Amino acid sequence: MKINRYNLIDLLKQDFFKSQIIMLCCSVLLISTSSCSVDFIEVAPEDRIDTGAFFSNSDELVFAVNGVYASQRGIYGGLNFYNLQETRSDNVKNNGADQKERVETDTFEETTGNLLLVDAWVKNYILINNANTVLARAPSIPFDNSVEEGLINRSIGETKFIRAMAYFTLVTMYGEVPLRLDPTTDFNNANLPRSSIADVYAAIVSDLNAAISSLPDSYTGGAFNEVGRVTKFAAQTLLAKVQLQKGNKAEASSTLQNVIGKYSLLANYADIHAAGNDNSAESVFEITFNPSNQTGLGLNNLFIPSSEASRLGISAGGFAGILPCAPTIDVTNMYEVGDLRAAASYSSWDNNGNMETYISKFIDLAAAGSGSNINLVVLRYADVLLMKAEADGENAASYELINQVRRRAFGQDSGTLDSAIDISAASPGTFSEKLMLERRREFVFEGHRWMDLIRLPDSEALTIINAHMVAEYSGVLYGGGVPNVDAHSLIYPIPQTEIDVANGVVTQNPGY
Amino acid sequence: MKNIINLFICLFLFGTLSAQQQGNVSSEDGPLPGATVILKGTDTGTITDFDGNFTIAADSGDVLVISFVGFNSQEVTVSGQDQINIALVSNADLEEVVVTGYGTQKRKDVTGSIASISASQIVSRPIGSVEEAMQGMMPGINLAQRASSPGELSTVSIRGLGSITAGTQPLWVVDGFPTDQRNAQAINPADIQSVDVLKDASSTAIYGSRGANGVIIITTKTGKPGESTLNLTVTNGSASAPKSARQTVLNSQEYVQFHKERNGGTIPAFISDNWDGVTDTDWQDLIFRNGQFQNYALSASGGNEKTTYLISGNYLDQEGIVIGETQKKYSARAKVNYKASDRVTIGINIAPNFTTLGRNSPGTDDSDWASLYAQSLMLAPILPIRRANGTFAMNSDLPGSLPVGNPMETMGNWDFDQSIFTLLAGMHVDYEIIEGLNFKSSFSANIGTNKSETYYLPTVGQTVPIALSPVSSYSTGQNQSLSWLNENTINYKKALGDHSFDVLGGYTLQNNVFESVSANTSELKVPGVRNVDIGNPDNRSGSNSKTESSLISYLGRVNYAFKEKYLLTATVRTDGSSVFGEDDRFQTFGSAALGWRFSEESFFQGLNLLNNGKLRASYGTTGSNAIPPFASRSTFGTVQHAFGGSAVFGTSLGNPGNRGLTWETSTQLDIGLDLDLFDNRLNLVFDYFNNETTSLLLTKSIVPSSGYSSFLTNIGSMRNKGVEIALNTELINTEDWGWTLGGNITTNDQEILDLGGDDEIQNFFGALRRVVGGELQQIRGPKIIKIARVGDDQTGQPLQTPGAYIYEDVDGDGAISNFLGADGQLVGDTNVDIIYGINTNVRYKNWELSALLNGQSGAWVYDFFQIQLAAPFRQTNLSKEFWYDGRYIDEANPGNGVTPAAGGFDTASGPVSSAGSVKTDYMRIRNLTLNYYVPSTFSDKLGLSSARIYSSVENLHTFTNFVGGNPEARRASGGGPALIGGSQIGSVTDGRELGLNSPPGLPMPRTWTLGINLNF
Repeated sequence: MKINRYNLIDLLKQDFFKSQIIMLCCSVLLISTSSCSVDFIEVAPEDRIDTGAFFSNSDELVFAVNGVYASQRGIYGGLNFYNLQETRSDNVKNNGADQKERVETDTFEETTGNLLLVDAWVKNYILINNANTVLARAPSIPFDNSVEEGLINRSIGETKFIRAMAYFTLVTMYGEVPLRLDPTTDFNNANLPRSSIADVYAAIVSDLNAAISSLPDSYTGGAFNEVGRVTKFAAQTLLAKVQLQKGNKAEASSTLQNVIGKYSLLANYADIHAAGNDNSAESVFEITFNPSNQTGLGLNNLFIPSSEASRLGISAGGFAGILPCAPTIDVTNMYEVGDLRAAASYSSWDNNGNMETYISKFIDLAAAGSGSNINLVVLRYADVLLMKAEADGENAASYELINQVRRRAFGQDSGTLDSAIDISAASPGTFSEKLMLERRREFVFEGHRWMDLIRLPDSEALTIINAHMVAEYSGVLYGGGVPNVDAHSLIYPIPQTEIDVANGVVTQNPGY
Repeated sequence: MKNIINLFICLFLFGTLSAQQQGNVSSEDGPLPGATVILKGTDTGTITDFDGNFTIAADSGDVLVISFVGFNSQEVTVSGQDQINIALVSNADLEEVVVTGYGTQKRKDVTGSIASISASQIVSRPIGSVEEAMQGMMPGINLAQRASSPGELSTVSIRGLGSITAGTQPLWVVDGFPTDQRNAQAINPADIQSVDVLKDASSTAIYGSRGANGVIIITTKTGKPGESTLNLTVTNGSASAPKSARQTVLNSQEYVQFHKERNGGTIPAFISDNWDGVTDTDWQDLIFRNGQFQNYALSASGGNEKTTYLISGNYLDQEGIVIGETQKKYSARAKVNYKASDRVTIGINIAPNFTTLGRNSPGTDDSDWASLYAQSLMLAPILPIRRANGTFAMNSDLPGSLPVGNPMETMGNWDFDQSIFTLLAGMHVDYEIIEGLNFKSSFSANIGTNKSETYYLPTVGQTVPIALSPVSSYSTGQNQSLSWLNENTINYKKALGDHSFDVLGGYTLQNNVFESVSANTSELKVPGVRNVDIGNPDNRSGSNSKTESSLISYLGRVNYAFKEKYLLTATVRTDGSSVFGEDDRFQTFGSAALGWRFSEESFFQGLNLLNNGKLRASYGTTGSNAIPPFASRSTFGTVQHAFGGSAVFGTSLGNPGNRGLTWETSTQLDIGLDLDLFDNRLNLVFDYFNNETTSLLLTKSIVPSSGYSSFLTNIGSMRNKGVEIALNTELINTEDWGWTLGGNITTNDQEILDLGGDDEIQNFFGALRRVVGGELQQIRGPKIIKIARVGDDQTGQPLQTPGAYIYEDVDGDGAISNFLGADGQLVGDTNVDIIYGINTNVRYKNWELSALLNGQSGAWVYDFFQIQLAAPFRQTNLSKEFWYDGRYIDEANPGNGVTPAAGGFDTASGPVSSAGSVKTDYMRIRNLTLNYYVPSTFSDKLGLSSARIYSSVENLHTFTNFVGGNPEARRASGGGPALIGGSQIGSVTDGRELGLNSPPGLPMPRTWTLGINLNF
C-alpha cells in the first residue's frame, strides 16, 4: 500500500484501524511535526555528478567527450581485444597453456559464450551509449560566444568520429549489429534487432562525413585544445579505411588524397612506438596512455615473459610462464635481411635453454606499477600511403608509395630511390601479395592484420589462415588433424548474452 | 468518542480522606526500598523508604497494590492490621518481561515470536562481543562466523536469508537506537541486561521498513534504586588453533610420494633438483601461536528514589591465533535516570567505545590468497624457511609451481592497523501525563569513525608472490558516520474490567551521513615513512565519498487483552525513505496477531500439570530498504584520460539509476504454541513460520548493446519457511543438586519463487547460480559418479584412466562438458536447512557446570581453495584429507573410491565439479564453563556480597567432515589465478558469495579462560 505524501490520517481512516484512540494519539503527534516530512527525505547527492544536472555548459560537454575518448583506452588497451584483432591472425600465436577462452579464439573454436567476445561487445557499446548521450545532449547546451559554440560543434565531430570507429570495429567483427544512435533510457524496452551491414556502414559514413565537416586540421595545444584530439585528417583516413573495407577503392583513393602530404614518415621505424613519442609527425590518430595520471598502458607488459622483464629491469612484469601472445614462426621468417622492422618488432629470450621469441614492439623500460608511457597509434601515415597504393591498384605511383615505406624500414631516406630496396611490377608475386606482405611487415602486432585478412576475398583469407593453423599448431595443440577453418569464422558469433537477454530479437550469425 | 471521555473520567477519580496504614515491604534479601504502594483503583500511592517501610492513607476494606520492578505485584486488603508486612516474590519465568520495541511486554502477553537471552547467559563466556553469546542459544537465529580473527563480525540471519541483493542483516537496536552490527559488537558484554530477538511480522512490524530481516534489541543494564553494587570481572586466558581444527597438509615424505605417483612413478625434477631429502617444514606451526585473552570489566550501579545510575568500564585485549592479529577494545558507559518530578523522568545514556585491530598479512579474514594461513597451507613442505643464501624460500623455487609467498616474509612486509571509535549517546524525557498515559521523547546520536592504514614493503629481488604487489605501497583511509534519531512516542495503558489496553503511537526521524576519504601511494622512496608524499608522485591517489539518507516514520500499536486470555496485537508503521526513487518513497507496513492463553480457560484450571499454555498466530508485512543511498539516481562517474602528455578530466555514465526503485516487502505468517508444564519445569516454544519476500531488489539483465549490463529494480520473490522448537527442562532442582537441559532446533526450507521472469541469475561465471525453484544459491558442475577402475565398462563415456574421475554424462553425447555446458548440474545448494543448539547446566552445592553445543546441517559450499588453488596441478602443498588419504594408487590399493589418483584430477571438468562442492555440516562444543560460587561465609569476611570463580573454554571441538578450518567460512577471491575449467576471465570480485569458500578460513580458536567475578 502506498500513500500520497504524508497524509497518515487519511490512511488510517481508509485502511487501518478504525480505533479512535490511536487516531487521537497520532494526531497529537502530527500537529507539530508532519509539515516538513517530504523535505526531510529529499536528500540530493553532493559527492557525485547527477545526470540530470550535467551538460549545463560547453566545458562539461568536453569532459563527457574526454570520457568517450577514455573508453577507447579500455578497448584498445585490453588483452581481450588484442586477442580478437591480432592473435587470431597469422601474426601471433597462443602457446596453448593460456586460459582456454583465449586459446579458443586463436584456434577458431570459440563458443558463443566466449567472454572475450562479450568483453569487446560490451565495451564498444558502453562507448556508443556514452557517445549517444553526448550527441543527444550537445545540441541543447547553451553558449555565450563563438568559442563555446565552436567547442560544442567540435565535440560533436569528435564524438561522431569515435562512434564511427566503434561501429566499424563492430561491423567488421560481428557483421550485422544493433545500430543504436540514441542513449538508452528505457531499461524495460531496450532490445533492438540487428541492422543490415549496409545500414551500419551508412551510419558510419554519415558520422565520419559530419566529423570531417566540423573538425579542425590541427590543435593549438592547451586546455580544451590538446594535441591528440581527432583531426579532420584522422576522420578522412578512417573514412578511407571504411571505404576500402567496403571495396570502394575509387572513393577511398580520393578521400586519401586529402591526407597525402599532411604527415610524414619518421626516419626511424622504432620511434613510432617509442615511449613518450606522442603524436609524432607520422601519427594520424592514436590512443593516449599516460602513466602520470594512472592511465598507463599495461597490455604491452603481458607480451614480455616475466624473467625477461626482470632481466630488462622492467618492474611491472608480465605473466609468469605463460605467454598469451607470441610471434608466429611465419612472422619471424618474413623479413628480408636489413629490414629494421624485425628487430623493432620482436626479440628473443632464454626459456630454460631454448631461445624463443616475444613481442617487443612496445617496451617501456621505465614502466612501473602505473604502466607504460606508450600510445597505441591506430592510424598512421604509413597506413595512409599503403592504403592509397591499395586503392589505386598496381601502377608506378603505387609502387612508389610502397617503396617510401620500405626505404624507411631499411633505414634509408623514404624519398630517395634505392634499387636495392625498391620493389616494382617486376618483383615476384602479384601486386596484392606484395602489398599485403608489406602491410604485414609494417603493421605487425599493431592490430591491423585480422582486418587486412578479412578484406581479402574469403578463399584467399582462408587459405592463409588454414596454412597458419597447420604451421603453428600441428603436433602442438593437435595430434594430427588440425581443424579446418571455414568462412563462417571470418565473423565472430554474436555474444550469447545479447541473444539470451534480447529473447529472440537478436539473431546469431550463421555457423555458430 | 464517548468511550474516551468515560475513560478519562475514570482516570481522574480520587480517593477520599482515610486512616493511616503502616507497613513494610521486603524481599528474600531483606527490606525493599523504593517499592510502590498504591491504593487499588486510584492513583494514590507512596514509595517505601530505605528500610522498606511505608505509610499510606487507607480504610479497612481498601486494597493495596504493592509492586516493584522484577517482582510480582501483590495485593493486600486492609483489615485493621497495625502493620502490614509484605514479602514480594521475584518474577517467575512467566512474568519475564520482553522488550518489544518502543516498549516492553510481559512474556505471557506476547503474541509474537520473540526469543531472549539474559545477562546470566552471557557473563561467564570468554567472548569479545554479544554475537558470540547468541549462537546456539535461540531458535531461528543463525550467526555464522565467516572469519575467526578477533574483531571480525559474524554474519547474522534470522529465519533464513530473505533477500538476494538487499541486505539480509537484521536490524540491531541498542537501547532504542536502530543501528548496525558494529555498534552492537562494541558493547561490553557485561553491560548487557537482555537480548531480545523479534522474529515474526507481528513483532517486527513496529520497525516497518527495516524489520524484514528481524530485529535484535540489546538492552543494557540500569541502576536500581537502593541497590548499590560494585562489580569486578577479571578474565584471563589463551586462544590457540588445536591440530584437530587445522587443515592437515602433507609432510615432505607424503608430498614427494604424491608427486612421484603423479609423475608416473619417478620423482619429478622440481623435487629432485630442489629437495635435500631432509627438509620437512610445518608452515602452520610457524604462524600459529597461543594468543592471550584478557578482559577486565568494572561496573558500579545504584541510586535512590530520585536518581539511578550505572557506570561501567571494560578493557578487552585479545590476540589472534595467527601471529600479528590483535584486538584491543576499550569501552565505557554512563547511564543516569533522574526523576525530576512525580511525572517527569529524564535520562542520559552515553557509551563510547574505542577498538583497535592489527593484522600483518593482507585480508586474512577477507579475500586474499596472500594471507599467512593460505600461504602456510600452500607452501611445499620440502622448502626450507630460508634458502642457503639467507633469503626466504617460496614456492616459485620449485619450477612450475604457483608462486606462493613465505608467511615469515609476508608478516614482516605487511602491516595493517585499524582503529574504530563509536559513540552512542542519547537522552530522553518521559512525561506521565496522567496515570497510564506516557509521552516519551528521545534524541540520540551515533557517531563513528573508522581509520585504517596499510603499509607494504616487498622484499627486493624476490619473485612476486601470488596476490601481492611487486611494489611497495602505503594507504590510509578514514570514514565518519553521523547518525541522529529523534523518537516521540505516546503510550497509554489501561485496564477496564476484563479489558486491558496498551496503545502506542509514535513519530520518528532518523538521518545518517557517511563520509569517507582515503589516500594511497606506491613505490615508496623512503621505506618506513608512512606518508603519501613518500611514494612515486605518479602513483598517488585520493578519493572520498559522502552519502546521506533520511527516514521518517509514523508508528502505532495496540495490545488488547480480554480476561487475560484473549490477546490481540495490531501494528502499523508508515515509512518514508530517501534511498528510493522519488516515485515510491513511502510505504505502510502492518501486522496483526492473536493469542489465546487456553490455560486460563476454566476447563484447564483443574489440571495442575499445565502452568501456562498459549496459542499464537500472527500475519503481517515488513520491508527492507537496505540499498545504498542514491542507488535510484542516474549518475556520471569520473575518468582520467590524456592527450599526449596532457592529462584531462573526463566523465562517463555510471549508475543507470531507477526512479521507480522501492521497498522489498516481506509477508510473514507465524503460528506458535507456548507451553509451561509440571510446575514450570518444562517449557516448550513451538513456531511455524512462512516468510515470503516480494518485489525483491534485483539487478535485472539488460541487453549488453544498451551500454549497460543490468539495472537495479524490484522483481522476483522468494520464501523461507520452517519450524522452530525450543525446549527447556529443569530435571532436578534440590538444594544441593540442580540439572537443566535445553535445546532448540530450527528448520528452514528456502525457495526462490520468481526472478522477474528469468530462470536463473549466474554468479561467479556461472559456477554459482540462483535458480527459480532452488535455494538462494546453487553450485553447478559436472557430477562425479566414481573413480575409474581397471576393467570398468566406460561405454558411452570419454575413456578415463584408472584413478581418474568419471562424470555423469547427462546429455549422453559421449563427452563431458565443463560446468557451463550440458553436463553441468546442481551439485550442492547453500541454504542452512537446520540449525540447532543444546545447552545443559549441572549444579552441585557451590559448583555449576554448563555446556553449550551448536550445529548446522544442509549447506554446501564450493571449496575453491581445495579444488582450484591448492590442487595437484599447482604443485602447492595439499590437504591430506582431500587429496592424499584414501586416494587411488593401483588396483591393489584402490582407496576410498572418492579420492582420485595423484594424477587423476583433470583440469578440464574437475576444477568446477561436484568434487569441489562440499558439505558444511558440523556440531561444535561451543562452550564449557565451570563456576564456583564462593560461600557467603567466606566472601563476607572479605567484604564481598558475592564472589564467583570460573573457568571456561570456547570452541572446544568441532565435529565435521568439512576439510580444514572453519565450515562457516565463506569468501570470494580478490586476486590471484583465474578460475580454471571453462569460463576463465579475471578474478572474482562479486563479494562474499554464499556458496564460495576461496582463500581458506582460519580455524575457530579454542579459548581457555579463568575468571573471577566479585560483587562488593
